[in-house]
Amino acid sequence: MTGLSHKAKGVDHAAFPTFDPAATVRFYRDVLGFPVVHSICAAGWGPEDHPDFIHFFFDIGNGDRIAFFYYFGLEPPAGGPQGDVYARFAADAPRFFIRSRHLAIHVDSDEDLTEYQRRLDGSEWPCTLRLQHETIESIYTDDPNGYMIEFTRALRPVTPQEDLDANLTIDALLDVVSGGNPSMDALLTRKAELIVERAADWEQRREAAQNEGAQRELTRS
Amino acid sequence: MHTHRVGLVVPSSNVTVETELPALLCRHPQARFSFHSARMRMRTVSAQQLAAMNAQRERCIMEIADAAPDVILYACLVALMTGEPGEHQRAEGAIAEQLATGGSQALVRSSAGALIEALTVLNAKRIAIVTPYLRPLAAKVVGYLEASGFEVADWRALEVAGNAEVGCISGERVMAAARSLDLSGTDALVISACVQMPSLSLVAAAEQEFGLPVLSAATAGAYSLLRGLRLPVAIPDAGRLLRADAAVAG
Repeated sequence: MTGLSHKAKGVDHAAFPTFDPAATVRFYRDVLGFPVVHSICAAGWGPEDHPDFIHFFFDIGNGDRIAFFYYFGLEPPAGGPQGDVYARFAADAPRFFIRSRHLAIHVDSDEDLTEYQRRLDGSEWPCTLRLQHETIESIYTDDPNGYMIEFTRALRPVTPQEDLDANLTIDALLDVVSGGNPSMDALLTRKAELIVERAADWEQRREAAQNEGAQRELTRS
Repeated sequence: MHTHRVGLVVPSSNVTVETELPALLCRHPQARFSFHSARMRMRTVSAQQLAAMNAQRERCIMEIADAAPDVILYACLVALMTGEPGEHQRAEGAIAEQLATGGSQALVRSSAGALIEALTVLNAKRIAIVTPYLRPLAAKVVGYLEASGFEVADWRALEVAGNAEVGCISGERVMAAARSLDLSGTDALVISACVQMPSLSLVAAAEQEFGLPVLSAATAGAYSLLRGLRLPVAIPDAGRLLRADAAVAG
């Protein structure tokens, strides 16, 4: 808990370059059905010289947007044989690392997830995977630019206990990273220590809350 | 002395804004200006041609921004004031976003927004206006001003559709229209709610004659540009709006 108020309202837009605007529009607008909601024509008027470009936006639901930059006449910068159009990696770069960066779009139901799978499977960009995790179910594909896109739905709500656990994990992570020799073993050891340190406090709070509840019951009866 | 670059986005048939704004700003006691225009094709002031003209805005901003102006004035009042209330904010916002996306530092003003800014500064609540437009368009401009919080007590439409012809309307005709207005209880007179209808030479004399603040699309535009550029508003002989800082500037 930082004590800072949380004012942010989600994603305004996440922006990516494209060298194939036609395929990008086919994928997002014509296959997925994401409306084009905005575009800006501009040039490089700042200190850096760069080509004329168009910045265009698709609605990804909830008022959030995915946006692209298309620079007229720009050739993709050189790079290795794998990756997407933004980031090219050497042949020996691990695939799990390259695939770690992705955008996940939320849907509400199994029907909605299956509908997007149907749209993708009927296109040039079929789903590469449908996966059920502990709390979520997801489908994956690569967009025409090589960007990994996930559609995901929650199978159950995340509980306050899980938030508490996540914060313990992150606190333990910060401790072991600052210790200079991070490992999973060290993290889990530190997490266990934190649980012991904090357990007495949780117990007290739990009892206090229970007593308060019992008191209210008494007052009511 | 730094020369302030003023970018103008004008209807292709406009000549007056490119005459009156330089004439006004060259009287400034402290600053120098240069003027650079981009043109949107428009010859007849009709709803269709205005819509077609607004569609050229994006191209004009591309062109004018290449000249690295300090400020850009979207100089067609009726194109914005025939839109929905708030259209000038939407247009200025879209232009600002286009400029910012390309890294331009240019400020954005519109003659529609400038008129509202100037009337607000003059604390004018009840106004009268002279327009060159056909009555339906003039009525829309009146409605836009009323939606912006001003009471338009009386107004005239000279019913000139050809924009080139608007640029040739005589001062006598504008003054005759102004004299025919019921100015009782008004706080200000907009002697030309159009950047193309010439009126600069009339403003100071009309202010004397009618005994109330007189402004035009051009003087309001000059006011807004000066404020945007953080320069003193001290232009002689163009109405009290443009003498706001005259004492300060000396």
